Amino acid sequence: MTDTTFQDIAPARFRDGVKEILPVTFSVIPYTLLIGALAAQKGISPLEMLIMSAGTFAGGAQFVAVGLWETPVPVFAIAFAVFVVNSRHILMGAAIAPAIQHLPWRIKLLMAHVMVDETWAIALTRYKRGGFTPAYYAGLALPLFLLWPCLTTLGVVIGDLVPEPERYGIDFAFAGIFLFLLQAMIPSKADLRPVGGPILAAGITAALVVPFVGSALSILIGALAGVAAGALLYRAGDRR
Amino acid sequence: MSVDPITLLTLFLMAAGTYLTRISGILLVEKLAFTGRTRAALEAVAPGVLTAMIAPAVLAGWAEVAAALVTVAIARTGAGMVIAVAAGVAVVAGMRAYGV
Repeated sequence: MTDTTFQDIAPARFRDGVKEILPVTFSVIPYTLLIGALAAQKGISPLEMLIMSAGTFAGGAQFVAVGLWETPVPVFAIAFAVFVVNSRHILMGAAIAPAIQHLPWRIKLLMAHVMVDETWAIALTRYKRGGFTPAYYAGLALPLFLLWPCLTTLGVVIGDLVPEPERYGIDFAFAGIFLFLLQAMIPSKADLRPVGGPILAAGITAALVVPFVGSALSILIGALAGVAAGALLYRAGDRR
Repeated sequence: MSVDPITLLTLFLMAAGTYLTRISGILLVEKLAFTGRTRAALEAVAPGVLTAMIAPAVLAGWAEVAAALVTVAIARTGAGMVIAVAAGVAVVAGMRAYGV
């Protein structure tokens, strides 16, 4: 493909991207309302949520941050936990790098900020199949980047209207979402050892140490136990 | 509406740390190769952190344990996240209403 055709079809590529991300966009709506409701419980304001969502733009990490949030704000525990949760981006960026290596730096710097799990997975699939362009990536990334901050902020506004969330078990939603994400990391029996092992190690360790060290430190210790289990359980020939 | 300076610092550090993770893989790809045991350890980071976050809450009482089992069981049938989580929330609310 020459650069001229590449320029000509940019709007079409953009539309392709939008079309492919649309189902994901709908699926994050309940997620955004939930994170907003949990944030409202913790006293996070709509404006603060807007800044968090536009600046961090990472669902799992924002759930972690909101989960740890209290007054006074444990600044470094939250910053550290968010960094640890998002460390998977390092691997994701390394995987997508060949697709964007030839692009100008200002484009790459922007692309990095809007890279989330779903966008990344779809973009990587398209790159391997052929037809990956910056316009296509923009089509994938922009709908989520526009909607996520708006909807999470709306979630805080709505969440402020629900009194006594414990009565409705809404505080369990946080754990429920994580359980859902965790079970999705084990799609087949082959994932039981490399993923299930770390989950067991991290869960048992965190639950055992939390009465002695508190919640922020128990996350670190539990996660380290999970990482150790991941390394110990590794066998040559594991997928990826 | 005002934003507390400590909160603003937290939000800034969250954003900066996250951006660092997003750009560093793209920057370092030629210099670092994550393979074998190192890669297995790095891939255990996400499940490890997520689990460590919720384990104390999930094991807090019988209502939470039951709700967790229901959530995972429903998720395994292929149901969406909202349905699975809503079922878990309903179990917790129901069992708390009966004083469990």
